[in-house]
Amino acid sequence: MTLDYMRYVLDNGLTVILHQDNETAMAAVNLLYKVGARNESPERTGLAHLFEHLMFGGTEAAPNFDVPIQTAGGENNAFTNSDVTNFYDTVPAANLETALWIEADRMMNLKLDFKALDTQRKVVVEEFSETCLNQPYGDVWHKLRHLCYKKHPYRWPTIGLVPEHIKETNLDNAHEFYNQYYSPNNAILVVAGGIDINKTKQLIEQYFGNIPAAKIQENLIEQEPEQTEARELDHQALVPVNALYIAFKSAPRNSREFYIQDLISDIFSNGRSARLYTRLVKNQQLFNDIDCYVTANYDPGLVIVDAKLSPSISYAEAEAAIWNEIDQLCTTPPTQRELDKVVNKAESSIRFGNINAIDKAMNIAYYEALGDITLLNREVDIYRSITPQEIMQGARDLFNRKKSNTLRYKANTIQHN
Amino acid sequence: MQPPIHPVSEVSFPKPEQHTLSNGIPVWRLNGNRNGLVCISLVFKAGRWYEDNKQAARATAFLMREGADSRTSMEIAEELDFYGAKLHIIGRQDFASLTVYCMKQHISHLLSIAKGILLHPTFDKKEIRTFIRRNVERLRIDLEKNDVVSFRAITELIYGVDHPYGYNTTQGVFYRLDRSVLQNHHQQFFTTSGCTAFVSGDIDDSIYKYLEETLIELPKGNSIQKTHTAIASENRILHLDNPKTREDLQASIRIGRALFTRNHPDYIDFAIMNMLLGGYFGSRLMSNLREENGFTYGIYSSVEAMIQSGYFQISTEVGRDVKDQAINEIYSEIERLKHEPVGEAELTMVRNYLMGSMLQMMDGTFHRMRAVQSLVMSGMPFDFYDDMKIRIQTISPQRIQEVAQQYLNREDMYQVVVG
Repeated sequence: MTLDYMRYVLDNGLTVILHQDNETAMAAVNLLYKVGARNESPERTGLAHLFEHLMFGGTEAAPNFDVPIQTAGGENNAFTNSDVTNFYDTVPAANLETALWIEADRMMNLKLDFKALDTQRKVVVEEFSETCLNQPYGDVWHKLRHLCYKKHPYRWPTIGLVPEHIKETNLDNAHEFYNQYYSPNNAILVVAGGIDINKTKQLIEQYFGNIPAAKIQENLIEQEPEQTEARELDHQALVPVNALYIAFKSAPRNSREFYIQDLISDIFSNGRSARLYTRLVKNQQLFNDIDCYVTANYDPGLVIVDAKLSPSISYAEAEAAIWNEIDQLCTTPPTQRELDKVVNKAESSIRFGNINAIDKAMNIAYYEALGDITLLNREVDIYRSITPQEIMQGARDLFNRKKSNTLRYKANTIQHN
Repeated sequence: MQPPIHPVSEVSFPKPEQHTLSNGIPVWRLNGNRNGLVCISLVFKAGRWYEDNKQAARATAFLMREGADSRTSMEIAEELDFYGAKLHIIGRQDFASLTVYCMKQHISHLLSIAKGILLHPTFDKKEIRTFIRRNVERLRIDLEKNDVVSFRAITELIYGVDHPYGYNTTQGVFYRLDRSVLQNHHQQFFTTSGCTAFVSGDIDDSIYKYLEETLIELPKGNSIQKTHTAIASENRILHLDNPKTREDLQASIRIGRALFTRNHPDYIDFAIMNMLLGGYFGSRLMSNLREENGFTYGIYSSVEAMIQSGYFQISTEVGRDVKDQAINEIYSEIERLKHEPVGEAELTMVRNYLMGSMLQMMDGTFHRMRAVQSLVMSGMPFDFYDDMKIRIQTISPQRIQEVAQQYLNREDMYQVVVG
């Protein structure tokens, strides 16, 4: 599978990538700004995400962002993570111009007023409550990030460290953030779907070409020093079931080591035949659920084993069983068949993940933001080239007890059974 | 300057090809996606509606793949993973379905696995115990979520504690499941008489041969009929404290009522009215409760249509201190819809948005097949979407008021607040 694309850069620094797919009547616009929670200061966390909400506050020309898109028969939304803020619109292809116009308009002319800020602060505080505070285990990312990172801004989650940071954000903070990060030379624009390439190029020039570039201040992100000691945190909360998280620092997203670690996490937990599920959940019945995944961050992220213990199992038994699986992979390479299996699965999920215009547009923007768009079409080959020996060596490098972070999220309710 | 908008006036709805297997099973087929990917879905009348024991539909569907024919659970899982295939077997309210997503060169092998699963699931006792243990634990976690508790409460109020669309699963329901329950459900309902096949993607005629091989030995079942009567609660308003002792920051609100299935003459008009009220991001409820007042991260209203009934509901999580205000605002938006005709600009937006959604729904072969499947399984004609197109483009403000007045009366609503 190869995705064809055309990439170029406007004079003001906006990176543009176009992908034509004549099988669809839809067009997707994906506008990624290279700013996320990692660009925040420790005193003003959650600002990148709050700002994503403010981007819907309207302009002189379009007082309500959603109205023109919806009237054009389209949908739009956005997300923020530690690394980027990503806005996307899907419209009938005939209305591509509306989406380009309105995205360009809010890149340059966003109206930031107190009413919008005040409402969105409340909305985000409700989002904080709904997703973190009012859910069992909802604050686990706060605990885990705090344990794993001591210097790097990955030590707080995208929603923010505390609701107070969001409540206290003022208009000056918002203006400063907009001016610093929301400029063409800090953005990647992808247009995909049933589009005419020449017409699209011309529209992009028309709407985005005159937006001035901003002087981007070098934002030096403090990198996390090498972890040298095992860290543990025991936390008691009113949750129904004991949970366990063991996290290790992963390799940078665009390194070969990352792909090895990704396959290691797949061997452990991707699919019903994966090791941790079949051995520890089904056979030994030590856990009720278990998962292993990689947070694919720009800077070194985490490989996390995430498990819910069976009712009568102690943490000591649970941890010993996980470490036993880790040790096995560190001493015995997987068979070629097992490795082929996870590579086949990876290839299949890449294929199924590139069907719709919007999925393709998002993927293209993601790899461009990583700094190497060619990865888009090379990943399957990278996965295929990895050997069983490399998996074993990768496991040894990754699963170092001295660099582990263990969070025991303990149920302190009385267990009714 | 805002560029001109070109309203979507045409949504093409390609008709699927129909074929019948030698044992009478209908097959619906849509070609497309020259990307090597296919989707095969076998749908059975084997959902909650038909079960003799609570949770039999879901448990049977889940456990059929855990050992079948000569293969163990692990062998089945390993082969599916090895081929990079996805197999979903799911028991829902009306139907159970077995769906395979895979690359086309693996169809024949994967269907041979599916055949074993359909014909000879072993329902190993150890696998059943694992299923029960894991589900009991998950239920404990779910019951600490306000939105789960409020959903359980409102569907039970609308349909009654023993109705398939209303009953709630407790630990006891899981503990009462055993091998004979699953075998009984499997034998009765995974038969030719309730089976329909849907195939889509990068396929050719050989698919019929593979389906013959897969389904030829499926037993002929009896025609499947079951009736249930909803017993709605007398009590229309329910306030539950959160089941856990943790201090709550938010309350989950649900307001709703029983409604109709998709073949009801008012269904489409109601669905359009619902869109305005709370069906999309630009809706009145979202504009009021989120964008004006900041009470919530989100609020939606929806029309759910099953085969035998349907219901309408509004759902949201709001700050606990504003829950009464939030409920007042919800009802005031309903009253406004009943008493003021919707303005031209807003109605145009909703018309265009809905036409765009239809275009989106028909975008890509797998999406289109989902639309086909839902029509076929509910016995609806293919011109349903043509009717919908016409209603979207022509419904009047008066008609929108009318359906709101007829169906959105406060005294008909059930209201649940948790937290």
